[in-house]
Amino acid sequence: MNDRGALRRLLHEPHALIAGAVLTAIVIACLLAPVYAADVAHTGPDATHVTETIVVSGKKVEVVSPTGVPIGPTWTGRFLLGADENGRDVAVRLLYGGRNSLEIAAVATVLSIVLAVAVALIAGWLGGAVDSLLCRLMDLIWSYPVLLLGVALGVTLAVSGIDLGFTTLRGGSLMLPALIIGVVYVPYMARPLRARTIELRGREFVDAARQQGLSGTRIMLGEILPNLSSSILVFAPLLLANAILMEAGLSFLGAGVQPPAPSWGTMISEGTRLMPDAIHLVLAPGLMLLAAVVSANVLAEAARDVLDPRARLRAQPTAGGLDWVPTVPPAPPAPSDGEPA
Amino acid sequence: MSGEPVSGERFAGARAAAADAADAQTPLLELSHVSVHFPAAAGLAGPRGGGSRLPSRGGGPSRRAREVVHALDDVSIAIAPGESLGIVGESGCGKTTLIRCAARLVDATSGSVRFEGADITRASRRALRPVRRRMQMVFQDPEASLNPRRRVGRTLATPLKLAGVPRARLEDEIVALLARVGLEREHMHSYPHELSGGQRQRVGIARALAMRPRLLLLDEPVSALDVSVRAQIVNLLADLREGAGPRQGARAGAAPGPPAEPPPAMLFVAHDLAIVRQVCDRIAVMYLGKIVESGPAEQVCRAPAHPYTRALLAAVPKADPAAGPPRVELTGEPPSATAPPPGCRFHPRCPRASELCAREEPPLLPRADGRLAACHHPLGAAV
Repeated sequence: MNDRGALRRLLHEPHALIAGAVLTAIVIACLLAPVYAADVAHTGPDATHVTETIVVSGKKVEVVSPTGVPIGPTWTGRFLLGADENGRDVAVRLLYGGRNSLEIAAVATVLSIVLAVAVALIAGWLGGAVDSLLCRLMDLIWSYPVLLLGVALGVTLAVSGIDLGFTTLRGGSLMLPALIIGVVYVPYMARPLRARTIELRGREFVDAARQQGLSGTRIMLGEILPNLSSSILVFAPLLLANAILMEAGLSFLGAGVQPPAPSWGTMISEGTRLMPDAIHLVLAPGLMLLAAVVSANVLAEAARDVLDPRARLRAQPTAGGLDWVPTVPPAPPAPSDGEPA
Repeated sequence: MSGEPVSGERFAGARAAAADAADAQTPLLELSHVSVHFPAAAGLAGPRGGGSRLPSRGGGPSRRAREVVHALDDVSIAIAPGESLGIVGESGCGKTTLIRCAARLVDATSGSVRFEGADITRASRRALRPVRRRMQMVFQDPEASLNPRRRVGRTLATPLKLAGVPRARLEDEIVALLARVGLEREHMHSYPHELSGGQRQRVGIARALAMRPRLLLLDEPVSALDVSVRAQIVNLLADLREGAGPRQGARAGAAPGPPAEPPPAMLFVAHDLAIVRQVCDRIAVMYLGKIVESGPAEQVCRAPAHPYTRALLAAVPKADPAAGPPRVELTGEPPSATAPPPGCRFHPRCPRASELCAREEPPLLPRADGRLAACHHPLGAAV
C-alpha cells in the first residue's frame, strides 16, 4: 500500500522496467535533439536541402530526386532516417517533433490531473448543488467524442488563439493543443476520483478529523487527497499515453501543432502524401508513437498491479483481456494515429 | 408522556449530595428530548447505511418521504464532568445515532444538545470547531477510523499540534501518548495496516486523548475486535478512568479546581452489558430509540428493573451457566424503527407484557431507589 514499497516492487517487474527504460530513452533522445542536430546531422529541424546531393556508400545521391521522391534511410550520420519532400532530415525532425509531442502530452497530463483532482475533491466533498453542477459540466465534455471535441476546439483556437486572463496563447503556440487535450480528458479522471472522494468522505477517519476541529479544506487536502494518490499514479501514465495519441491525432488533422513546427502527428500527416514511395516518412514517427504509447500503457498497468495487488489476482485468469484497469473508466476512444481518413 | 423527570437521576443526586460543587451542577454533556428521524429511503434512492450518516445532504423529498426511521425518540441524558455513562442496547436501537448526535455528526430533528452548558444543537461548523476538540470520539472500526496513508506518528501529531504542543516537544508527547495506551515508541513509524486490530484501536484512543478532551465519546470501541483483544482494550479504558486515582476520588476531585489532568468523562456505547459495567458509573439501556432504564451500573446489572435489561443481562455469557439468573430468551427481532409498535415498544417481545402495555406507553419514571425505568410492570428488587 505505501508508495515507497510500491516503487521498489515496480522495479522488480521486468515488463515495467523495460517499458520505463524505453520511455526514458525516448525522452532523453528527444531532449538531446539539438545536440544530435548540431553534432551528428549537421542540420536543423527546419533546414531544407532539396537541391543538395550527399555521398552514400561512395555514390553521389540527390537528397530529393527530380521526381520529388526524398531519399530513404542512409543509416549514417546525415539523413540517418532519410529526408522528407523538402529535403529536411527526418531523424532530426523526429527528435524535435518528439520534444513537441511529449511536451504537449506532459503538460496536458499535468493539467488534466490538476483539474480532475480539483473537480473531484470539490464535487465529492461539497456534494449538493456544486456536485451536480460540476458533474453536469463533466457530462457535457464527456458527451462529445474526445477527438471531435479536440478537433473542434483546435480548429477554432488555432486561428484565434485564446485569452486566459493571466496569459494569452497565440495561434501557433504549443500550449494550445496541450490546453485542449488537458481539458478534454478531465472527466475521464475526475469521475472515478469523485466517486472515491465520496467513499472516503463517509469513512470514519474523516469524522475523526472533523472531531479534531479541522477545516474542510484541511480535511480535503490532508486526509482525502493522499488517499487518492494511488489512483492518480495509475492514471498518470495512462493519461500520458492517451495525450500523446490525441496530440498525434489532432496534429494529423491539422488541429494541433501547426506546420512547419514538427511533431509526430504533423510528420505522419505530411508523410502520407508520399505514402507508397517514401514509407519511412510515416514509419519513423509512427513507430516512435507506438513505442511511447505502449510503454506508457505497460507502465500504467504495472503501477496498477503494484498499487492494488488484489486487482492482479482478479485479472490473472483473463490476462490479455481489455478489462485490466478496474479503477479506470473505459478507455476513451483512441484518436486515429495516422490512418488517412 | 415521558416529559416529566427526564433529566438523569445523576442530576437529582448531584443536587442533593454536592450543593457545594457548583461545577457539578452543570452537566458536561446534556441531551434533552432529542429525537432524530431519518427519511426511510429504500432501494436505489439511497441505501440506509450511507443515508443515515449524512441525512441532511441531498435528502430531497422522496416518494416515501412520509416513512420515517425513528432512530432516537425523546431521549435525554446528562453526563457530569468526569463521569462515565454507558449506553447499551441491541443493534439498531439508536445508540450510535445518540453518540453521533452528541458529536453533532448527525443533526437532531428536535430537542437540544448542550455541551459545557452551551447549546450546540444548531451551532455552525465554525463555531463547533473549538467545542469538538473538547469532546473526542473513538470509533467502532479502527480500520476505517485511521487514515490508511498516514503513519501513526503523524496521525497523533495533528491533534497534538492543534492542542498547542510545540514542535520540539511533539515527539516526546507522541511517545507519552503511545505509552499511555500501551504501545511502543516504534509504533509511531507504522502504517495502520501494519498494526493489529487491537493496536489500531489503541491508536484511535490515543488520538482521542491527544486533544486532552473533557469528554470521550466511545462508539462501540471493542465490538470490531477479537474477544481476546477486547478485554485488553476494556482494561485500558477502565485504567484511563482511574488514571488520576481511584474512581470515587476522581469523581470528588473533579469538582474543586483544575487537577493536573482529570480523567475525561465518557459516553460509552456498546451492545454488551458486561463490558459497559466494567467501565461505567452509570448505564442507560436503550430499546428502539428510547431509554428504557437508567441508573448506577452496579444497581442496573445486579437488579434490573426493566424486563429488557434482564434479557440483555441474561444474554451475557457466563463462566458458570448454572449460577446467576436463568436465561431469558428474547423471541423475535426488534420491530422496525419505521413503524414502532403502539404502547410500550418492547411489549411484543416482553414476557411480562399485559394488555396495558399494548395500549399505553410507559413513561420513564424514577423508582424508589432513584433510578429511572420505563415499564408498567417493573421487576422487583430481587431477580
